Amino acid sequence: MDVKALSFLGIKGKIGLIIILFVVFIGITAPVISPYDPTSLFEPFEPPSSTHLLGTDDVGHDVLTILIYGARVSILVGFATATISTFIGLLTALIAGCYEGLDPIISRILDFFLVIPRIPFIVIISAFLTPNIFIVILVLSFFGWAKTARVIKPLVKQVYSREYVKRLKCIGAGNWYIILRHILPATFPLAVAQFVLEGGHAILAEASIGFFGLEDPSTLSWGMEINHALQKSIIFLTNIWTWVLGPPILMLTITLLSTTFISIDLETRINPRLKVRSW
Amino acid sequence: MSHVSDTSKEVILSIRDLKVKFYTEEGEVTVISDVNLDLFKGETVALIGESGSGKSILGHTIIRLLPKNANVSGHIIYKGIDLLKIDSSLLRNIRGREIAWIPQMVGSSLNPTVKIGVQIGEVLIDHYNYRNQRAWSSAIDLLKLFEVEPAEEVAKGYPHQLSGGMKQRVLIASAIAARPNLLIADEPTKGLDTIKKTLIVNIFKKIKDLKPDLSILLITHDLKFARELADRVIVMYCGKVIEINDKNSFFELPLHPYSKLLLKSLPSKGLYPIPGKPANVANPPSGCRFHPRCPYASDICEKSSPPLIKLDLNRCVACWLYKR
Amino acid sequence: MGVSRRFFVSKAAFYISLFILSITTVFLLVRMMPGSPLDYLGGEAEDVPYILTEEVREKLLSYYGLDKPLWEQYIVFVNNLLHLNFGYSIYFSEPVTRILLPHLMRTLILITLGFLFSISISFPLSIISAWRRGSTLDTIITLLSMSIYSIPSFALAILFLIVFSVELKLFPLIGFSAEENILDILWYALGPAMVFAVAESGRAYYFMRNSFISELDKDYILFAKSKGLKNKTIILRHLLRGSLSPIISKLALLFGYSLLSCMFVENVFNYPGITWLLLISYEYYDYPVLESILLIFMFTVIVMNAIADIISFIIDPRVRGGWM
Ligand SMILES: Nc1ncnc2c1ncn2[C@@H]1O[C@H](COP(=O)(O)OP(=O)(O)O)[C@@H](O)[C@H]1O
Ligand SMILES: [Mg+2]
Repeated sequence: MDVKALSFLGIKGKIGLIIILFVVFIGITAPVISPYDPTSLFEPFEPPSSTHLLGTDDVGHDVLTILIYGARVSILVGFATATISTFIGLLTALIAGCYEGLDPIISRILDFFLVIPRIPFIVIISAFLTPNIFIVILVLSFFGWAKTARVIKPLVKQVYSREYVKRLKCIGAGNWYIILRHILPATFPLAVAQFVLEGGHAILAEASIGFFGLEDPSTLSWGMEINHALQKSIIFLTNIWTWVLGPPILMLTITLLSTTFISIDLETRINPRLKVRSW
Repeated sequence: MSHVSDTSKEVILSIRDLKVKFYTEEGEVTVISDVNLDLFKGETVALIGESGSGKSILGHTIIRLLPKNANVSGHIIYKGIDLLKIDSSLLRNIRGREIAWIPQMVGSSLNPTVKIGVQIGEVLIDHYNYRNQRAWSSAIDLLKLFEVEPAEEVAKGYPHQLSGGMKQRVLIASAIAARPNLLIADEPTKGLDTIKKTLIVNIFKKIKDLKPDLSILLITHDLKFARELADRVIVMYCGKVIEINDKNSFFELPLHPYSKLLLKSLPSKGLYPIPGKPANVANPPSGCRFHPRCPYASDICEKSSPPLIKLDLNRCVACWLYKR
Repeated sequence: MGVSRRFFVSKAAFYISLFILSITTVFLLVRMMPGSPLDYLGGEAEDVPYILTEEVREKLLSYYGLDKPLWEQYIVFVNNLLHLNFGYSIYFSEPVTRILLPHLMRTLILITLGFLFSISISFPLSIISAWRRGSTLDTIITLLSMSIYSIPSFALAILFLIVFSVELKLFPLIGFSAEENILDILWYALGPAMVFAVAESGRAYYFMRNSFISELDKDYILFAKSKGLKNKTIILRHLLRGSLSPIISKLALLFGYSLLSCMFVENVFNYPGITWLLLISYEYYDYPVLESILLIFMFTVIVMNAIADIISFIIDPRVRGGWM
């Protein structure tokens, strides 16, 4: 298990990476590539045509434009949440794994966090503050770091109890020197796998918040778009659902599929026993 | 290819041109090369060699338990059947009933969640359609024979309640319960003290009494143990068979320089360690694999690998010193 | 014996502290939500303030005990919980238990049905996959389950509705019939349960496959194979029994978290279960109902954790041996 494990991905990981890079690209270049301004309104429920490639939604937004801006929200939430919770989780794991005295307390805190049901609590929290995406990011990170800490902690413990670490301590190396120079690098592959996993969870959770209609109404996210569409049962009477509901669901699924594929690929690299045939 | 053959004795297992490769992240590693040997009915052969020389892998190969990343070529003929070519249902009928295997990992080879009695008796149920009751009492008989007492209690218990020596005996009982014709025992005395070793020696003698025509391939690096039980000795070094000899002849007049040094390293002979580092199969020396450590090495040893030379009916050695 | 008692006590203390922490968190979060249940009394928020004079408002607040300071409310809340009194719903003006029970029952039906479906699909598939790890079959099943796992469960639910209710008109679009006849209940639960099952089976399959694979790598499985046991014996006795404890524990945990997936399914299908009620009670600031549902959420996770501990205690003789 070393950094080398990350320098190459299997075919699954590569496909996942290409998809996620594509979504990132769309998100970053949204103002340039989207056909319209996200605030401009047209006739509602217009079917796909040359002027509106994916038609328009219930209030008259161009669906393709919303879709492109939605990628922005998903990627931002996924990336930021994964970064924050991996950072905190990793830090916690390092502290709990290397300072034995703190481990019991930290473990109890982690256990408590793992009992908290994310979505219902976000529902309640949304009563306090209307979740714009920064609040969503903060709340999701608040709930996300514990899992990362839980997964990485055993590895930290294992590395920390290795012979060479003991020897380093005998020579008088400082604890944080050992942690930063020797233990942190060893947790790197697992941390990256966890980062991708957490990113996927965050994207899903953000979409779920949108799906329940709890996000700031001005947020242009896939989840909110699905929520708006579902409010109008008329979309099921004709084939309107094919363009107002289909595209955001498809984009969301593809994005989540890519994070799943990357994290599974990383996981089998870290733990080769789980390997499916590499084809 | 030269190999031992003896018309007076019935060959039960013969291995021809066996080669075992592993595909690893670092590339291909050949852990066993050009192994040729015969096992006769009723004899006990000790397979000795230092750790990493491929003894366990040879055992795994015979009973076909190598991991998926292994590649095997050659022939392993058991009673006229090539074990490397048979299908899984025939293999299942041979395993346990014809050929049994005692694994090296004593601590982890018993299922911690299954009763001891079941783990011993289950072979009888699966191979001979024994009723549960009958298999259970056979298990208890075996435990009694191997002096794992109180047998009834032990049979009802679980592995974690046993000591290391008891686990080893349970493992042996479990392997031989179906009365196989060939037993491969992988380091059965590993990690045991002298008293427990004596117990294991007695158990092997009891097994022999139970079934005199049982052949045993005794994988060990415990020369004393080999001396007490074996009829013949096969020496492996770095994935190759380098000597095949009768027991008495081996301990009195070992052929290969490695064997000579090995015997000298025994405590009773003064504990002279063999100089140099053990060879690594992943990166074997050129020519004779022992030449970097061999006091008799000459140019040819460095350049080409000696074949297994047949000296007489019972003795073979792979060393250029014996090439006339 | 002393050690095991201490272990037991510390476990119990841990779970009790988790309960207390959950109760406190839920109470604080809900009671501190900006807004008041009275805003919605008797109708929409806009209408109420006109009807509700300051005097009536005070009276109502004191009637529901909401005029007291937070800590006093907390004591009342905890005290009520200890007497299994969940309070009186402000919005529905009925005891919470009366409101909750039918919803809880529908959710339980959904989850149980869904779990039965999900496990009957994923359990055999995961065994097949692990047993033939690396085969084309394994690859296909794993990819498929990964894809399903990636689809958000609300998307699955929407998809299901479109295909079966909108296009094929097989299932009702509305969530529930007024009639509480058992067949009707099952019929209305069937659609949501199937979606729930598909959503959960991806996850269940993946972790079961991984558990089985790590189990299959154990030395005792290799030994069981070497004995020529039937595949049936190896799988049912050695593979399943060894991995049963981690799998059942994990299933208990999955069950604990399954209310979350339920939340999406119930809301898409408009199935009036407990998670559907959560959003209603949230909308109307119905503190007692909201608190009870959140507590149910957290308690199922905690209780399932405890059950997982107990199960591994019962199944695994190693743990059991340590305890007694
Ligand atoms: N699965 C494997 N992949 C690659 N190499 C292996 C594998 N198993 C064993 N080996 C190598 O095969 C060699 C022989 O091992 P083994 O037969 O266990 O030695 P021993 O004589 O001590 O029993 C060792 O050098 C070991 O590194
Ligand atoms: Mg060995």
